[in-house]
Amino acid sequence: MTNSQMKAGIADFKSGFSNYHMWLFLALQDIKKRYRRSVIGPFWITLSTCIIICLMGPLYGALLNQPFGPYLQYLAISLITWMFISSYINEACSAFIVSQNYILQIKLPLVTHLLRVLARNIIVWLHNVVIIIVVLLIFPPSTLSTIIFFFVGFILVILNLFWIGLLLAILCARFRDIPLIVGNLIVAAFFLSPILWKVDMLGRKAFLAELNPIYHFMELIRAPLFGSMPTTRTYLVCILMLVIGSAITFMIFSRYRSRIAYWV
Amino acid sequence: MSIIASDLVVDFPVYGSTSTRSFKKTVLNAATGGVLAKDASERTVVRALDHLNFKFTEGDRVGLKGHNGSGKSTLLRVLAGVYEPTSGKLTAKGKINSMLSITLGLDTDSTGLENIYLRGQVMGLKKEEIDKLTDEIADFSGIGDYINLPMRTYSSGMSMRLAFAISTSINADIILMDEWLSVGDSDFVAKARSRMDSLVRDANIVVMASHNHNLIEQQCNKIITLEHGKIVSLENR
Repeated sequence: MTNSQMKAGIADFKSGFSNYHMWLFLALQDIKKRYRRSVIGPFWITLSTCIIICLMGPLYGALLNQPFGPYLQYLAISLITWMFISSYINEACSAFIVSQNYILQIKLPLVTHLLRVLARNIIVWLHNVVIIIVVLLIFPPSTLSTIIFFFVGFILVILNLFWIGLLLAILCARFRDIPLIVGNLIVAAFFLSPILWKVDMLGRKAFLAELNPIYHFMELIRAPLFGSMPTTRTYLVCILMLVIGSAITFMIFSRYRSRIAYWV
Repeated sequence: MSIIASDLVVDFPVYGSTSTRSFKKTVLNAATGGVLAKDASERTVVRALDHLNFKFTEGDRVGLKGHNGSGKSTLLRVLAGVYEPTSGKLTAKGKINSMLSITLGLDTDSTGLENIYLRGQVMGLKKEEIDKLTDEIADFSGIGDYINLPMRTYSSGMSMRLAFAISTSINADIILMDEWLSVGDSDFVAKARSRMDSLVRDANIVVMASHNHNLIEQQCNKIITLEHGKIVSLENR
């Protein structure tokens, strides 16, 4: 990676982030487009999540021998967080590929296309927050003092998702098998991550869950909503991932940025 | 305001059945060392632009001529900053309005007004800047009350008129065009023509590709003929 490539990479980031009015607008437009002419519009997102939780909650609660209230609370928050992470990662894979017409017609900072995907998924997630709030009202957590750490965790997860998404978007533009591999891994990750089940159900093997980065992401967001704190280790893992991952991704991005238009 | 190219080369890698695009092949290549690695070095490359040298300065009206596949559109895309040269150098100073695709960003399910904002955002305008332009655009495109209806209800002429009105509503230092824009029925063509003329007049540098030789000779003071990605003639008039 040469100096000029790095400078161009930094310039892309800078103008990409400062162009927030564009990707926010495009993200909102995507949502509008998806639900145009539907009566309740984007609240279909909320409704369908609600239906899934109401169907799965009692079933898996019974299967796993869990008390109804706390399990429903656990499942709702876990599932909504998971839906956000998984759909973002899936869409990030094709961030450059589907923006092909933009990339080939007009010069925009390339991160714009990824930020559009990220913003779109956050908007979808905001529709689901309604459910989290309702669940928390019905089954209140032991304390609300940890709520502030929910925001800290959420931001940390978003920053991590940014580099993961960018890395995947670059790789997927070049190697068209990767979106398919990632799609499969995400299905597997749903069952392998503590979403339906809880880590303490693993008993002595609970340490295995700690090897899963998704577990740490889930904990960052989930634990504060239950009135507990994510462990220091979780924070350390996520911060370390953020630093190392961002550095590697930035290098790859700078090196191959100018090739992406040729790949899509 | 200037555009300078020195030894500009653009190669397109061709990814397909015989190439290394799949992850499997790259992994195999890495894992098997020399044997399959040949595959990687022998990837097919199409040279779209071959060592171009030119300099456009303030006041230049550049016409690009050439057959299909001679590199006109690729050159325009390089000038627009879409493709970065494989080797060589290109420096462009000035604000560029690339009108390579005037319908980019338009959405048929959105209303005309929403589309003005969509397209405006794509061209890099802020909401407040677009606010000031909407009346003029709606007026010029002559689509009247249809502005509040979804674009799928428009005739193709109407959508083109709207797209034209939006794309030509901002001034730029450098204008890039793939074919001279002419849209709509005869009344509108005259209107569009005068708008294009004034846009071109106000710009510092205009680069247009066209198959219409008369038009290029009327509009341009520099005519470049491309063949197989090379400049075969550069005519100053």
